[in-house]
Amino acid sequence: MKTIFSILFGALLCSLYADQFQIPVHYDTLKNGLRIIIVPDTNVAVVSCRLYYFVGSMYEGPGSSGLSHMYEHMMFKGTKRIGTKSYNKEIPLMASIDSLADIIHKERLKGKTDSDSLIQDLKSKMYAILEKQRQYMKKEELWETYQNNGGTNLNAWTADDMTAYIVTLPKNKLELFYWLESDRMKDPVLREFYSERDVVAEERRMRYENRPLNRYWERLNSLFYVAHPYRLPTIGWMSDIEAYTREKMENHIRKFYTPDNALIVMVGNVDPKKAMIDIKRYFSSIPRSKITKTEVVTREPQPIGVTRFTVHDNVAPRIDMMFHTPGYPHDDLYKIDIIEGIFSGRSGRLYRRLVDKEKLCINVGAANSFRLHDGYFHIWAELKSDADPKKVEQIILEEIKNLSSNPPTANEMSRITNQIRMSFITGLKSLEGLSDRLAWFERLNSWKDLLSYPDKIAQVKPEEISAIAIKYINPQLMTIGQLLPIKPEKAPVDAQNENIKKK
Amino acid sequence: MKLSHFFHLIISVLMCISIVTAQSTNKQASSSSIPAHPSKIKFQPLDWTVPLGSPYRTELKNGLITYIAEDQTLPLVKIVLYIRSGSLLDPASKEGLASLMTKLMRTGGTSKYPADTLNELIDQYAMQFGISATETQISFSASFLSEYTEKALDIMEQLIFHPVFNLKEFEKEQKIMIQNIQHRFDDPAPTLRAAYQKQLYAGEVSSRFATEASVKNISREDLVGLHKKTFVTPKMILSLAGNFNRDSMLTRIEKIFPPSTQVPNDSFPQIAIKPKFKCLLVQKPLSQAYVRLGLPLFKRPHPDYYSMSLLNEILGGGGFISRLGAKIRSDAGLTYSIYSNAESNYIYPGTFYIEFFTKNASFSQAVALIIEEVQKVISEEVTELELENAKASLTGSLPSMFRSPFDIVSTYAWNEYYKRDPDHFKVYEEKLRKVTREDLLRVAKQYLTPDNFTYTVVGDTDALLKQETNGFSLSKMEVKTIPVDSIAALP
Repeated sequence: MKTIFSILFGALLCSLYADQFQIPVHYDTLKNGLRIIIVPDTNVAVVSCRLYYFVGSMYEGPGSSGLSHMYEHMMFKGTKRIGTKSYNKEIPLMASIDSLADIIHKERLKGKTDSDSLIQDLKSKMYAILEKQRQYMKKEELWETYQNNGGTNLNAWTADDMTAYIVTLPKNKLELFYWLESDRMKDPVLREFYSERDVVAEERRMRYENRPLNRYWERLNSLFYVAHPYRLPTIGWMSDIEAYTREKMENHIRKFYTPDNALIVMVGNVDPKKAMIDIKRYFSSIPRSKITKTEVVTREPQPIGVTRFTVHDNVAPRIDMMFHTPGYPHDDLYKIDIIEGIFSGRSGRLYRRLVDKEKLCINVGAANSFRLHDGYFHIWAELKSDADPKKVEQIILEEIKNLSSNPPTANEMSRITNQIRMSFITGLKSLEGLSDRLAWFERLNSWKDLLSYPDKIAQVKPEEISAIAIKYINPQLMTIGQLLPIKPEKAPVDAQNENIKKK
Repeated sequence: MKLSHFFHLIISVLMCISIVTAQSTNKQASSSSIPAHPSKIKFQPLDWTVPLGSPYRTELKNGLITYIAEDQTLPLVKIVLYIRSGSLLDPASKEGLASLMTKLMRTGGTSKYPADTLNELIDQYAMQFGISATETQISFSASFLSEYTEKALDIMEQLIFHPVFNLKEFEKEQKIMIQNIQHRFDDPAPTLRAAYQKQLYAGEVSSRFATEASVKNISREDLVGLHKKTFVTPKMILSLAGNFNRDSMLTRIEKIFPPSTQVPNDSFPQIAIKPKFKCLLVQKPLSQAYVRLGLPLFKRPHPDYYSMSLLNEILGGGGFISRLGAKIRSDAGLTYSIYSNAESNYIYPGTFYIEFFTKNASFSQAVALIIEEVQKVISEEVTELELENAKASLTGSLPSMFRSPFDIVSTYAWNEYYKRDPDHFKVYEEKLRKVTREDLLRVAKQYLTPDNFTYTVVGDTDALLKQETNGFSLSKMEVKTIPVDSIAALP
């Protein structure tokens, strides 16, 4: 076991910035592989406590998309000791529910739908057994325990390569975090699985079916990634959600939700020495996974042309251009970040041209996304209603071309550097934000990369940018999406003249 | 969350790392010392008390009420200024005026800096300025690196007191605002919120919102006029914290805000809750119904607020552990989100509402279950455990609310803006502690009569109108059906 204690001295050795502040980072690894990052801050009375599992939708495939997200929900259903009055009495009832769910699944495969009486009957039986099981349950005990002890920011989130369980606790309640998180790492119980599956289906309807922009974005992402599982929506496809079973979920849990695939990050008023004693007491007995985690080997092939995608919906018009970039780590990523800075903001090249000068857009920007395998660079433009999308596209292409002959000016470099610094320092204000940043870099490579990132950016020379633009921001290989409004078919109706239906 | 979203935030500072290998704290873990249940854990008492605002409050010679705190932990300064105004004061037929004015204050240039130069300066020094209007408040915010304090204060003074509302920028922002109006109901959630305001406050100023016509009716002169009468020192409360010397900062601030003899007109218009229809059904082709059940409540301060707040926590405000969360989401799997809200409104009477969405086929089933739960809280007392949990949940979040000096000063500035007692947070816990189960039953009976609920629904009319569950059906009540693009035309 190795413990590293790092004090990061802002500007003590670096002359570029005059700031004097320190971030003490305590890093540790238990014998079972569980990693721990602790950043003490005695100015506050609370601690951001987050447990990350290095799993997400990139580890899923056809038929299982969204499983990590589903488990994000299920982790709140309790364990063998939490959420139950008698776990043993729940076991046979859950088995009966599984049998009925299996029959429903098979009937659905034959073409039966939820409106068929057979399916409705089976579901009624399933819910009747669930009601019996609920006699032995303590509903929402995990959530209630956190909340009644002053837990705030209580939640969880799922991404393509990480899932996080998060809570911010008063500094005297940290043992609660160790107790509950070690317990749900050890002995999770998938109670109320099928009703929660319905909840996730409702979530998907809300996020994607009924929000035109999200619906468009989900499809555009699936077109951009041809091979890599980044193409899968984190929430999962609806048909996959409807086919989840407890067995499928249990296999997923066994593979990924073990200490050797997890990271604890605590930021706030916490004593690292005391915290490590407690973390070992609670987590060290949990064994590593017995199954070898299957790494994703698929990599995105080089595009062979332009992919063009147009959707008409009830929305404001927009254009999205996406370009493939290398996976992390890669030195070129920092140079692409400079390109992002050149294109972004009110004084960025795209805003000045498309919003201020040509008056074709109401907003425009760019974003460079670091990803474990295949990243992307994204240029987006929100168009004025009467703007010609072809013209906007043409101007963006001109600005991309312009980049290859006009590298960033000294003013642009200074602006970008300042903004990077401001964002970094602002980010340190939030306990939760710092937790996530440390975790993301640990996921990508090492938490220390968060701190070496500024050096990497500072090493970028303006004259390097043109070649990078030519290499990566290649219009011949881009994916371009256009979300355009449907023309109204009739004038708005005067509400005063509408009929009132009364029965 | 996408990495890119916060990678912009992560960003950099040149930092040098000094790594020291420390002694591992490895000790033999003992699982036997783990309590059998979290309820058995012995917690130390929390050595923390709610901070008071008074040590941070000062009234400057120019009359500006200021909450100020030094915070040397990072090279940052944060400022929030509250200005007593808001969109409720927009003149009839010029709805959107306050919103357009605040937008132009940021983007329309100042007497010293043309719009382009201003954008460049703000970007160059990575400063963040925001000005926005809600119904009952205009707020200005600033955040900047402390080494640029003088530059930032210069820009702040320009933005607050010397905007020029450049005509070209005005026309640009006016067009953008109109486009945003055309698309504000693309998603169902904002559609529901707008329809609910129309439904509960029919004909009142709180149910008005900007339309294409009202925005076109606003002139540059309107902005200038509104700015002149709004941005006067007696209407403002300032809060700031950061890496500065308190006395020097106060001296500098005093120079920015001119003294004024103008007595502020403090009053917002009187507003009453006037539900218009039993059900307002907004036609939108969706696979889910987006629903709010609502009824009138009261304006704060009000003696029933704390009882109502605790009742709300138990019924639907407490997330998963609330009765509605447990029943409609967790038990029945009918929704991803359901919650209730006892609105806290200091300017006009608020409402109590329950909001959720569900697939079309389960709409009436979900409403029927909700009504059952409401019936339960008006017919029998909540349990002692429920009440204690609700109190613990509401008071337990206070340490998280007051984390930094900026949290303290901005919270107390907000507190004074809405004319709450200076010791509001100190006595908060005590006031909640005194509330009994009988109090909750009384307010439930008084305010939550199910027959008084109005229904605001956004969804597919055909799919929703014919459903019936346990006696609940839209077809049994007065339903006003309108297309989505007619919401703004309602009174």
